[in-house]
Amino acid sequence: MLLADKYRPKDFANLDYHKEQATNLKNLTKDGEFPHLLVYGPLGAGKKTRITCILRELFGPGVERLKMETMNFTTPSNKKLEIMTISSNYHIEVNPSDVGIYDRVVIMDIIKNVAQSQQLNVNAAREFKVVILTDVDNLTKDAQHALRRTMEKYIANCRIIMCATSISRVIPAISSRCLCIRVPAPEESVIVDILQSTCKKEDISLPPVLAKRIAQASNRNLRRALLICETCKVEQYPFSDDQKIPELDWEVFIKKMAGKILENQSIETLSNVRKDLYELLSNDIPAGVIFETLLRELLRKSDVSIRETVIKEAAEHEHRLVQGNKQIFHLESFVAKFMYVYQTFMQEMFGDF
Amino acid sequence: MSDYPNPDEEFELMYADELELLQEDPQYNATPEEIAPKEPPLQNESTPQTQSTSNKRNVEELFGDISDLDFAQFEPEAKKTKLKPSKEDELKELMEHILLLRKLNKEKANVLSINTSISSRARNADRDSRNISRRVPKYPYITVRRSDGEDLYVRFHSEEYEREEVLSVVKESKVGHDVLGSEKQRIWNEAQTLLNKLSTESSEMELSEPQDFGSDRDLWLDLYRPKRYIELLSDESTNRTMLKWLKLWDKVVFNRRPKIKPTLKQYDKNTSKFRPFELNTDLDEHDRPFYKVALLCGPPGLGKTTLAHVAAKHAGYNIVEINASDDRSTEAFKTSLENATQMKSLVDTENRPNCLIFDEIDGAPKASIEYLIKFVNGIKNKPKKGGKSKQFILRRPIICICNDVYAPALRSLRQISLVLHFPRTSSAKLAERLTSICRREGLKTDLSTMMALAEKTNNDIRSCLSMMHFFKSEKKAVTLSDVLRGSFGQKDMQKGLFAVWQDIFQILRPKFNPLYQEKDASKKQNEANRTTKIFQTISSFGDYERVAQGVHENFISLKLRDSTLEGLSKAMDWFVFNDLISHQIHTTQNYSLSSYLPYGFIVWHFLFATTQAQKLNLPSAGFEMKQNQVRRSAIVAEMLKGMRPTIKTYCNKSSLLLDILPFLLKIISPNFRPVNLHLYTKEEKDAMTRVVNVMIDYNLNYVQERRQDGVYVFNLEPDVEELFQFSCKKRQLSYSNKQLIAREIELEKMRRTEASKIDKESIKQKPNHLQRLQANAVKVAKTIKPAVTKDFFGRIVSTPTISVKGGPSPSNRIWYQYKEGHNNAVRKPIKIADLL
Repeated sequence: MLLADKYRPKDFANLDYHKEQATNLKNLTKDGEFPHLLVYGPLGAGKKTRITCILRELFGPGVERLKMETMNFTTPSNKKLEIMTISSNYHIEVNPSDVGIYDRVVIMDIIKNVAQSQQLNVNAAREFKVVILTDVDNLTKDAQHALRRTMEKYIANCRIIMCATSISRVIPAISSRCLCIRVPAPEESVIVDILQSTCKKEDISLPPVLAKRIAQASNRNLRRALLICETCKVEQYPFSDDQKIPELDWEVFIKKMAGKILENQSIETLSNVRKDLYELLSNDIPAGVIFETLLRELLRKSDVSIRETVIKEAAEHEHRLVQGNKQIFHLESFVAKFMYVYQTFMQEMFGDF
Repeated sequence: MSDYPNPDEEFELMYADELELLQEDPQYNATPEEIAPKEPPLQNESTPQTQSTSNKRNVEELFGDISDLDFAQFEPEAKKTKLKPSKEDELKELMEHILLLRKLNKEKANVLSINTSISSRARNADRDSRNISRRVPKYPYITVRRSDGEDLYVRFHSEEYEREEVLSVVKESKVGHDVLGSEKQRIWNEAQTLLNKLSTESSEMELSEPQDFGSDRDLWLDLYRPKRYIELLSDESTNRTMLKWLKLWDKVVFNRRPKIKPTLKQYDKNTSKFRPFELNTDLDEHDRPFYKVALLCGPPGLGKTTLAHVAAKHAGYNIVEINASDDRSTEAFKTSLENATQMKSLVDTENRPNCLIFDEIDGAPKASIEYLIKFVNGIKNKPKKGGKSKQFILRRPIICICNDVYAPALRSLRQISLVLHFPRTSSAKLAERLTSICRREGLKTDLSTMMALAEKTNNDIRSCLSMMHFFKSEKKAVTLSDVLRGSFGQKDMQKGLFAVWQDIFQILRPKFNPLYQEKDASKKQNEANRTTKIFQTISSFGDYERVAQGVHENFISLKLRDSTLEGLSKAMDWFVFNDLISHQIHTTQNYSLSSYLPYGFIVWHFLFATTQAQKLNLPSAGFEMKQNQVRRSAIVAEMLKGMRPTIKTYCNKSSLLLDILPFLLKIISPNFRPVNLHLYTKEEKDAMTRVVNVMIDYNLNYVQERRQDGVYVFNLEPDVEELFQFSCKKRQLSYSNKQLIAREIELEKMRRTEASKIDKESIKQKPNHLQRLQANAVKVAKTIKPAVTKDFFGRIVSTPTISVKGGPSPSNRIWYQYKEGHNNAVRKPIKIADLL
């Protein structure tokens, strides 16, 4: 098992950080009135871990008995769909965006299914079941609107816990019906501590310098930190302080691309960049992530005076990307815009000299 | 005639054929007397030819054209004339007819001499003078069949006929055919034009105006449909091939030797210009040409139908047309086909044989076309025909007309027929004709306008004529600016995808535009023209998304005129805009937004277009990307599907892709020595077990595959290695390591299933009948609590209770199981005490 999976805390008592939040959540479960939840935060912050903790607190260890099932749906247009669900006796977890634009059907079907059947087990701790919806920020507007009524209607029999990276794409109608819980990414020092303790459990000696470096490289993503640590171990053990820290392939790739853009601004560059972008997109790297990484790289090299424009452009393009369909157009358009702004700036600079 | 000494003179040769063909016609058409006095010795090629044509035409136009029935009525008379030439004078009717013909012929010859030949000036002058003299007494129109004065007679006859026709019969006849009324109108118009040309009297012109308006109910299209072979506008070589092919039927139809053969061969050998199509002139055993069917194909409005009609008429056939307006079910088709081709025995030998024309055959049902093919190839069994038991042989030419020769229904027909592709009419030729029509109609215009019109309509004669007719009814002159500015005449034409892209990427060289002499104005106009042109092309094409995709993928590889980044980012902005709009359209079905889509293309045109032709490629990158994406996400889905649920809860697709997978691949390929597992150190063994466990957790395995070069390799299954090919080097495990891991994974999997089985078995309850009852754990301590007996004084008396009582102690409780006969039906725990 990977370290990240092996030492994942299973209940509130074992959580390593955000302890105060943990106590609050624990108190929440004690009360009979348990609301709908919307848990959000960046990748690798521990959203899912907290959700499992809540479930365990609500229903006891029975929720850890998971089974995977494929559920079948039929859309109104008679298209057969199937979707993987993970469920226990007390809850069901599903990612509706797996079926793309038909997520509305999934949401309607699942919630109705779950809500219409009452908890059969008389001994169960709670009289409701829990539906976990992951990747809520990728839900279509239709699906979100379908959700809001059902959330109220079936509250007697089911609670919904939603999991999202950002709340900005969740319609206000939904977030207002939920208790929104933000799970911030752990601080670097926390990550260092966790790395150290984990390595201790595994009987690995991790030098503090390396731990710090790993924590920095992880970008405050705990999962990533643990994975980096494990990869380091595979690549070189015993550790040394100045060990090479493995990087993410796609991140390296985007950085290279940014280098190309900064080096030369012309149509040929755009043509090269287009190939790279296609490669990234075909690997299912989300366009938002590409935008973010690219912008970060470009900003590092660009002058303060143009930063504002560049950020504004990036934000605008990213916004339009979500509204549009063909991601390549938007990414390329941003690249072209940046090249134009950058080139104009450079020319002005050299013009002064 | 056929033996022209000099085959190199193409022009002469070209006419030689026709001359020959034309000469035959009058003989066949049974009006030899008329030719005899009029036909001068052939000195000049063009003039006699025109004359003879008109001769024949006159007969047809007056009688045959109304409908074929009329001609048939007339035919016996003509025959009579032939039989009894001495009684000519007595037959008043016939006399009148001849006179009429003569007059018309002269009129026509005049018109023609203006249009085509200038050589016979002398004769024309003579005729012209007579014409004019004839003109004046025309107006009264009173004398009917009394006077021998030709003019009076003719005019009256036509007028009366027209009135009759308009009132009753004509409306029923086919639309495409001229009725005599329009024929009269045409003659009238011809005369008018003639007068306008020759005499300077303007009063005549004004007189003719109202007359013309009366004729507006006839479309110019029908009015000016070519009626003679030489009037045809379509490509000369096509016409000739068609006519020759028809003439090849002479042997079987008219029992005459087709005389073209020798000429044709010579001609083919020596010239390259007129050899677009080599007609197979060989005759088969039934003296039929090699191809039994001619298939005319080409875009609409070029005169295919007209050519078929004119050529068939010219070759002396009676036309039977079946088009899309007729019932074309197999049954109806069969009937008409048989009627048209098998009537030979019933029809008089002097009458004209039938020629079948299937118009718009690409719309006919497939079954009908199959029947036609079977029919052409010869139907084997024809027992219906009493005496003839042998197979039926097609003895009549069949002409099929279609727009799209590659329609699937026509595939088999194409193979057995003479396919004649219709090239576009040359603009100059068309414009010339249009100008002459304008002159006749009194529409003020000039040649360059007509050229522009022809080009604008893509040389579609039909739309040109409709356009001009429209202008005429509007009573205004057609000017060049009208043509250039107007939005008429352009059909909603579907261009090919590549043509559309070409339009976007290429600036057509601005044509000389006399209206805009100043440079600025012309530039502005040119830009406006380009804008409208692109707009129209794009909006008529309709599939914006594909066009945009093509533009997007092509512009980057092209040499751009404006290579500044500003233009580039502007162009990209428009791509974004188009994407937003089209996404909005697709998600909300709000198609009113689609009118905003074409403007991006105009911007791209102005940014990217160059004057040179660019090499364009079919856009494929986007499509490939999509395919890769689908394949790769299928891999990820496969991986997610088989993952342990306890792990799967914690990772969704994006975290798997962004965080886990890149490291996972490294984690599962540690630095193993390529040796046997038994030689591994303890650490290595641990590492191995870790790898195996992780791989099982994440549903990965190595699978042996055979590569194309015969080498066996172990690949990951699902092949996540395909996902991250970002040109980064990856450490690969050796073959033996992979093999080892694969085996270990299998073993581990087996162990796990075994373990879970045992687990299950231990948990699982036995079937009911195997169950043994088990005693409840009896609370021992309390029952044995010694009953403390006390004596009178309160002293404890120890009594040996156990031995006395002998009651059931928990340890030696006896259970009795009734087993006899293995009957499980009744089973009940009984104590010995109960039995005793």
